[in-house]
Amino acid sequence: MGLIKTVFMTELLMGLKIVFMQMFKPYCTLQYPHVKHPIPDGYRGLMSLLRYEDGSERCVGCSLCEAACPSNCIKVVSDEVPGQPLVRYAREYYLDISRCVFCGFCTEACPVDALAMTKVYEASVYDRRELMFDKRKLYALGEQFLEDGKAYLVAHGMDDGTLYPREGLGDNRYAFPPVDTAHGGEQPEQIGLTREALEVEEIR
Amino acid sequence: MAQPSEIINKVVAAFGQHVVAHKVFADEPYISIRKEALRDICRLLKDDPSMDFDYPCEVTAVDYMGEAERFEVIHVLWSVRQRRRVILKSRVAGDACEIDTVSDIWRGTSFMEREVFDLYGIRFNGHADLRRIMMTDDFEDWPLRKDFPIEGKGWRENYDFIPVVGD
Amino acid sequence: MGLTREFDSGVMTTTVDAAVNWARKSALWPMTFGLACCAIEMIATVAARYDVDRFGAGVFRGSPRQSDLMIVAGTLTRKMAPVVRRIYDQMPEPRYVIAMGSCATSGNVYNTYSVVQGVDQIVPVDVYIAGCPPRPEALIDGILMLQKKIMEQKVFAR
Repeated sequence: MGLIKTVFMTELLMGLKIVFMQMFKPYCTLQYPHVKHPIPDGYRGLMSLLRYEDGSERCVGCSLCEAACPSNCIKVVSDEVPGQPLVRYAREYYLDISRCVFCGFCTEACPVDALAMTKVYEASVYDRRELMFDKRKLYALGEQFLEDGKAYLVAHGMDDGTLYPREGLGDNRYAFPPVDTAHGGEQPEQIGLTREALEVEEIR
Repeated sequence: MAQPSEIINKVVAAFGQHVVAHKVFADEPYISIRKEALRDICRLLKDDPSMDFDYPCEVTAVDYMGEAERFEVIHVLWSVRQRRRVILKSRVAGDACEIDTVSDIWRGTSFMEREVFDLYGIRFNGHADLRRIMMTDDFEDWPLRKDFPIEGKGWRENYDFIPVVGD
Repeated sequence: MGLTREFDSGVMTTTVDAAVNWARKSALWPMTFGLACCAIEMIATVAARYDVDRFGAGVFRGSPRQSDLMIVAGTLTRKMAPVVRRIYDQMPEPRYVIAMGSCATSGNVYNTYSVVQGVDQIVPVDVYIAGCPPRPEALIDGILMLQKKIMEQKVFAR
């Protein structure tokens, strides 16, 4: 018996049989640049700044996010709104994405829910200086991915659902999209390409 | 199984003049001693069959900056058979950072004493091979001391190893 | 500069350029260089779910002599920095470097005495990937950007 196994290499054939059987199984590879994973609501991607419904900026320039940031990557320059001495806003807002740890402490520290994290995770650049996001870029991100920001705020309990009512969630704050393990059949829904969001130059 | 108070009583009975303070916290004995008696107390704790501390958990240090005896070297010992832990604390002055080694009693403390020497600058008298273990040999400071700035003193921007193009 | 290059490069050289660049970008062999937690995401990128082999960048080599791409995945300490530089010097031309994750890009929260504030201080970096750690999709996105950069290179036309 041992001689037959040695001569005909039956173990090798048994292994090859398993390899051959894999050809008839559905593949599990995600065809990434064309198909993207559905991202759950609580996901912490790039940070964005939000506006009120009338278009005015939510941020009041209190620098609490700057104090809460563990890696000191946020810089807020606060200033008075011209003509309104009691109202303040952030004249400049810098976020160094290259130092950000995506912890979400800044959004939890914010008293006016001006910060929310989107589901954007692709931030590859050729130049490191492009990762320094300024106020215009953050507001542009917040405008393009407003729904992500609202879902984030609801999912993390910073909004009880009155500010941004979410339909069809039931008792859950989170909305986990269904993840299918085999992509042989129906493909999951595509999420809009994010490359444009990082190259937005003009807002409004 | 020796109770924590029994361990303290034995140490106080043998080296009463060298024990500064002692207490029992969370069912574990904490003994503050003078550093001159460290080796003798460690030998007692290891050789006494009723205590039998055969495993040194860790050797570490604390920097109390501003006090006269600035550093506190802490030995945490564990007895595998007795399932008992003891914590020895011995203070070291800031200007002459020296304490006796216990690496000949427990060989396992050798690397830990090297680490304490590397990060705090406390010299262990009698250590066979007292070199830096975490930082490279060209590093010239003691990084875990309280007066060391967290960004360092320029060592991390030192790139002497990069070859100069065109040389 | 652009005009002279326009005149120098004929139809022949640009076509050969495109062929060479296509060959280079289609067989980017990375080097196994995981330094910290980003390495876990790099391993996940190579595994079947994301399968970076679809882009020809899945053949991880253990030797710098056989690899084209160094993915610096993780925190680079000052003690490790000479090793990274030596490995980069041992790689054959053309060689590319991806700084994966915030630590390799800028040091991240570790603004400390022992951490190099970005690998671009010791080796030239082609693509930076933000994220802590980046998702496997983000790493694939960085590799695609690197392939786009390779296709724009001039090999023969100068």
